[in-house]
Amino acid sequence: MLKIEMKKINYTLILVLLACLALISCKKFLEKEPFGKTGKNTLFETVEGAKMAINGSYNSMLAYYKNEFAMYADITSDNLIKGNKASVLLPQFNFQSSSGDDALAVGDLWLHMYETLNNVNNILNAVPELKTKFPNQVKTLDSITGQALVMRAICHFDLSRVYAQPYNYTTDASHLGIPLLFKTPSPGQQVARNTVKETYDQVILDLKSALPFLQQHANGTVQTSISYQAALALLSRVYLYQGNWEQCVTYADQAIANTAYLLAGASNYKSTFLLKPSLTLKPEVIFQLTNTGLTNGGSSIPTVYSDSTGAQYSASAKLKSLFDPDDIRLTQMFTIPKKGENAGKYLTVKYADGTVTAINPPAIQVIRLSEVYLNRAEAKWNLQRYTEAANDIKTISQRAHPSRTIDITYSSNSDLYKQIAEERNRELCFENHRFFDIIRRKEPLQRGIDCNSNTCSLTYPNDKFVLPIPNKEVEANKAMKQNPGYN
Amino acid sequence: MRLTIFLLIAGCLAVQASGYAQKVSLSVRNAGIESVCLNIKQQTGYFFLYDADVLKKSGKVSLELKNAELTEALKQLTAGKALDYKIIDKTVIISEAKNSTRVTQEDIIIKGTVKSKEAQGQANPSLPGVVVTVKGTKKATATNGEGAYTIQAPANGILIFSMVGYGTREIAINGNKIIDVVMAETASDLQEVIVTAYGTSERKENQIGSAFVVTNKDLENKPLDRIDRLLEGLVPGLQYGVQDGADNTSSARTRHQTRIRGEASFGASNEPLWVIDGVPLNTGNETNQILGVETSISPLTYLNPNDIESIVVLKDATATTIYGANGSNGVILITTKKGASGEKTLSYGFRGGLNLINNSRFHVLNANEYRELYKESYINNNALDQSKMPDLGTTNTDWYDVFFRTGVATNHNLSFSGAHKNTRYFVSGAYYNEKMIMMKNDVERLSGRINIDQKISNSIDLFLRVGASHNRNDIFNPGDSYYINRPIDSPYNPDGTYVDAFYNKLREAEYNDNTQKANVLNGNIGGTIKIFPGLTYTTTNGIDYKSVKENIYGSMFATSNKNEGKATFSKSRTIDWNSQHRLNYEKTIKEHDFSVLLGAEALSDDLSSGSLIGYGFEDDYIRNPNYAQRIQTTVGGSRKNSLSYYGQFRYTLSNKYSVLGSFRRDGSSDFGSDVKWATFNSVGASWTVSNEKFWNIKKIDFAKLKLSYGTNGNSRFGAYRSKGLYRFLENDTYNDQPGAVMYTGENPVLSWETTYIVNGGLSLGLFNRISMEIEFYRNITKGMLDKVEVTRTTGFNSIDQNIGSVKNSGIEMNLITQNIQKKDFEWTTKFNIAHNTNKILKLNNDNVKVLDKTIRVVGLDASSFYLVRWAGVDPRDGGPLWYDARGNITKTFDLANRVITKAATPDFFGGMTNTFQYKAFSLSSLFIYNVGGYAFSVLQRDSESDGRNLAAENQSRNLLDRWREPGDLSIIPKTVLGENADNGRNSTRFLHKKTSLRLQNISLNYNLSEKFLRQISLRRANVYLQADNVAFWTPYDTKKDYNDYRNSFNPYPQPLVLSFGVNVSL
Repeated sequence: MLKIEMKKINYTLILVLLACLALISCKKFLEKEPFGKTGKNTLFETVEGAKMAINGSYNSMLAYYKNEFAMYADITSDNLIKGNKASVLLPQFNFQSSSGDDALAVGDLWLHMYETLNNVNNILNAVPELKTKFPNQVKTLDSITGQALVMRAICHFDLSRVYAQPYNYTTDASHLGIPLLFKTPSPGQQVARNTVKETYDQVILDLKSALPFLQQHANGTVQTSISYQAALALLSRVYLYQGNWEQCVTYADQAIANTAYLLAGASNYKSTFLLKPSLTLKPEVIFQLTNTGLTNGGSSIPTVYSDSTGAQYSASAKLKSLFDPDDIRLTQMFTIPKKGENAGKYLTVKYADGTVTAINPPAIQVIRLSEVYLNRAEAKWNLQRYTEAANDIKTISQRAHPSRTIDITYSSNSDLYKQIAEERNRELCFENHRFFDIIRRKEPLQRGIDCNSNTCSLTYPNDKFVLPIPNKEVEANKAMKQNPGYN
Repeated sequence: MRLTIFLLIAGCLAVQASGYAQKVSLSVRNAGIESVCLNIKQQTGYFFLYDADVLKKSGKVSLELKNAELTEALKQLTAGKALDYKIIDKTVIISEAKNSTRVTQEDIIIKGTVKSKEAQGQANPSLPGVVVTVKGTKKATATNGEGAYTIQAPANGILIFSMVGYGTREIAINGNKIIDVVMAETASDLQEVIVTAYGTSERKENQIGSAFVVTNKDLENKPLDRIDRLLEGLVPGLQYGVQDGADNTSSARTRHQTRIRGEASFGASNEPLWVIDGVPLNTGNETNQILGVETSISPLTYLNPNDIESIVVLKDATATTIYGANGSNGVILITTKKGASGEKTLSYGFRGGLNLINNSRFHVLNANEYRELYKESYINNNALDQSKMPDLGTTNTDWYDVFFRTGVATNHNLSFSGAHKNTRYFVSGAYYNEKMIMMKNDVERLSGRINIDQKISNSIDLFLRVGASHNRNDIFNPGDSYYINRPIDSPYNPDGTYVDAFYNKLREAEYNDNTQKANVLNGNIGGTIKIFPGLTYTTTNGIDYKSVKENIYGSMFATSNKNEGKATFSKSRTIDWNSQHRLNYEKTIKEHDFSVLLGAEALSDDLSSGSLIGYGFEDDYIRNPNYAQRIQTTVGGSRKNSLSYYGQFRYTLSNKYSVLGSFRRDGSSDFGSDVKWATFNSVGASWTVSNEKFWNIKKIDFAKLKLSYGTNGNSRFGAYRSKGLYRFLENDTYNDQPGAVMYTGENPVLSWETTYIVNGGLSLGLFNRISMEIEFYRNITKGMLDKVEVTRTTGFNSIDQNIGSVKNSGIEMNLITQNIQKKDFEWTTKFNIAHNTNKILKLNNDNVKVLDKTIRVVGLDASSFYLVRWAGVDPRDGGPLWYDARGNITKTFDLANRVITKAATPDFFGGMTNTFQYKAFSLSSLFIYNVGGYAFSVLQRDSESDGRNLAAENQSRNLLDRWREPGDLSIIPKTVLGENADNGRNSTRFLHKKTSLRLQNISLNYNLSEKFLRQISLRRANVYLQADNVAFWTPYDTKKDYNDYRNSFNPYPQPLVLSFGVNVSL
């Protein structure tokens, strides 16, 4: 009897121990993942996760472009006048930005650019481990790395364009830039601003580092994602902004030399903007943001610029006067509604052809080949290679005047400079360049006779040429310095 | 004198009588000796001589004799009595014994059982552990588990029954061999064993923790709709009410909350942890919201209150630490009924009642009042064209009558319990049905429970507890219609169709469907193994399963989904399982009592929900989203696992000194990798002073001091908040490729809130009639969770952080007095009172946070209001006046003039239960009171719009007291149609003091007499009348049919419920 009892006890003890062990050994037990969502660590356990993350980053970047950023440099420039319904970026149009505008562009742009940066940095920090884990997928991972590096450069560069004075604002670019981030800070962390020099150095470093990773896509044909040529083209832009003319020319040359991307002909110029992305139709676009799921509604760019009834801004007299009457960029690229709110106004068709529909998602051109020509023209002018500069703008102008032959004649070198600037605006208006071009050239802002902003002119230099850092950022981050002129 | 004569005769006739061998058979209980003598006389033919007074004085006898010798019969008859007998010839002489013969009385063996008076009628009323002593000797024994005892004592001795908490009773033996005793509890009820966490228990006599017990007796004749409602007014420091921030207070289905000792958290749940038979119950998210369905119906409505044996509310650290990261808001343990060894019982109960909307409605203007006010307000607006005043018609509609009805509730409850050999069982089934006062709102609950305890061998016991219910809720939410619809509008056109000039919710009531069906199962299976004496292993494996299906159809004939129809089919399923393994060791060595617990527990919560919404139907009969033109699907869910280890050690010396220590180590998948694990500890001690030898204060029969300190946590603030989370929605794709976008910021150092609890107490028992328990506590919650603004360079506006600390401290008292205890009349009062203060000790970077109407400032109550002060009405022009920040009167409303004023926390609150018992009747009443504290009435703000909203909405009847002409002293400004926007902005005008007294429940019960019941073969039967929400008083009562705090708080009326019930058991 005693024996039986003892056996029972042993049996019981074993059971108890087993039960305890079972609980302890389940290490994974406490690593529970949500449903329909996943923790950062889990996402980056597979290459598929990294792919999804890069798509998510594009999606996030598109979000900040389509709602505000891609309109910023035109609305703040002399290119546009407002309509009755203007609301998007209206404080910026009037140069009345306030650091308290947390829910408006001041806060939105800041937040959403860093939101994209967070997504991008997560990828960059996760890829090295993935490479060791999946050696046979290194090529895919390299491509992801290259794209992410370029996206990081874009985020930093865009932030700097909006919140920091241009590179040449101080002689050594030692003025306030934006915080450069390679890893998302923790919630309580204090993040300080780097100088503009450090910002540009990092942007250039990221773009250059991306090149070897993107080499495999040298003839990339997916314009919606970042290719080798996109990195080259962006380098030409960043160097132009920096005033590093040689490097600008070097990278512009490389981008133009590549035959995968060619200027569109006059006959399919308009479709370059409006038709669904496809390289055969629009080889001119080097990188664009678009999404089949993208809706045109709300305050996004097609409504604000191109919807015959809903458009909030239209071309200013000053902009219209830049065009020859037979310039296809005037004749084809504007729609003039006959009735309603915007009757008689010049609305761009770069995002929608007068009506906004859910079909044919709009595309936002981040960089086109024609810009590279114009970058090169300006850089060459600064290198005093005037003829070459004239040739580059001739290429662009000729395409816009298919019915006649264009010759670039200039009375003086400064006249040529003016022509380069005008050609750039004719070609790239409504594509988020004009205001940035004005201030990097240290020009004053001078709006035209039909100016209906509270502010029609601003001299250079000017505190108002940059947005304030949002108050909420300064409150939460003691290391953050506000831009001069704002509180 | 008569005796002398008898004796003389006896002496003369002295003859030996032993030769007769007459047999006697007798079976009497509590019979008079004289009658027994007569009986024997009839059987034997012997004459009896006795003094009738002496026999009467000697009391009653119980005899069981079969063919006994006469001498044996007489011996037994006189045993234990002060009587002698002599047989002379054929005569028996019974006389008073002389002193000398008493001493020679033989010891007899006495058996009996001791029962508790309070437990009468329950399955097992026996009292174990009652000490039985023979008076004047050292002879003693104690009752066993079944309350039985056996003791040898002189037949004429006296037995003393004593038990702490039940006082003592002395009973003369009088030769009785069977003495059954019923003992009544003294007020302190010290023997009560309070079963707390994980099979541990404390005796009230030396309880250290704060564990308040509500027994099934306390729950009798109380509402049956939801369990949390039952605790209000009974448990000191517990508050029950409408959920903070609930957005549908006008609905019949608004969410409710339970708070124990105030609120400690901003971002996490403040709801206590509900545990049923050891298995945690998922009551929804942080704000009791059920994810995945439109209407949150509390899982606490899915349980049958009749199945509850007891509810224990744990409040201090020693009691809650062992629940670790979920324990800081208190823990409520619900134990369901078990079968008891003893008799089989079959019980049936019925209750039927009417719910009357009564006077608790919000009073709005009737049509004539409305027309008058409208006209006046119209004229007061100079901007309006006075010639174009609209025609206000002659209609008079009472919208309360339109939407509300008399509710009907019925409940049937059948249960069967008992024991068979090694099996104890409790089986119940119940059907509850309520037609609520709001039209188209019906509740149906079909519930069942099987609880089985099975003894497998001497060392193994198994148990099974399963409760399941099917719940059907028909829902219609009228929104604000019942009080804002204008009385001059009719719901119907003359042809009987619905008027559509306004949002006529009646149309929706008729055409739309909204039904929620929930199938719920909670239960556990497990067993205990006695490894060696004192050491047991217990495993409990439980599940809390809920499957809620919601079918909503928005008709194409209803206003909201016109010409299209919208069908929503949602399903929400929760499977929470839990597996516990523990070792309990108990040992008593002389005066040392030890108990040790070690255990481990794994928990898993899995919630999944999905909904299918279809828009566009061919006709209104299809109602199936599958056939809709457009279909939208959403899927969601969350999962969480946690793992815990815990232990407890308890030691009591001589029933005087006790110490207790507990710990728990918790790991949760919700938390960051750095803080995945947390440990909580507590220690406590108690000193039962009255058990000391030196204690000689007779009037204080019991005195105990206790103190405990420890920590517990609050991890309930939604899953995965620490992790950087990516989602993959359709919106996150990029050019048809799936995309993942991060949508919550990462905070790897995010941790649970920790509450540091000090709890002390004094328990007193006075005159065996009064029990008083005073507790004081100080809970400091550190690492409070909330969303905090962060540097946007993280990519987010705000991220969850541990941001500050808050202190809740207070004092609670529970008092039980047995005011009158007569044979036929008893009066008992249970009274409790609680006072809590709340104070923010620390906030992130000392940031003041202004919320909608309140403000969070270090040093103040977290519920402090931050409002512009109302200064009344300008008697000159009827305009509103406010105070500016400096205290000067101003005519302009400016948010900059907000000041910190009053807080929601009451000064004190509690409840009082009085029970009167007269013979078979008992009357019980529950009062709930609240003194101090303020509440902001959104309802009043919107319905006293001073003409602003009058064109579209009916108004509070209080507007009848508006300012009309210069010189009027009024509290309501001049009404101006379409204007007065500032009047309706948040100010102290709409702040109410919450002081109130409610008669919450009253019941009259009649127990049918046992004699009568025996005739119809019933063991127990009672009938009762019950009323709930009977009366409500505030010291600020306004005129009749005006609105005061009572009805300005929530628009949905609290119905007066009148019920009749009957219970019978076999």
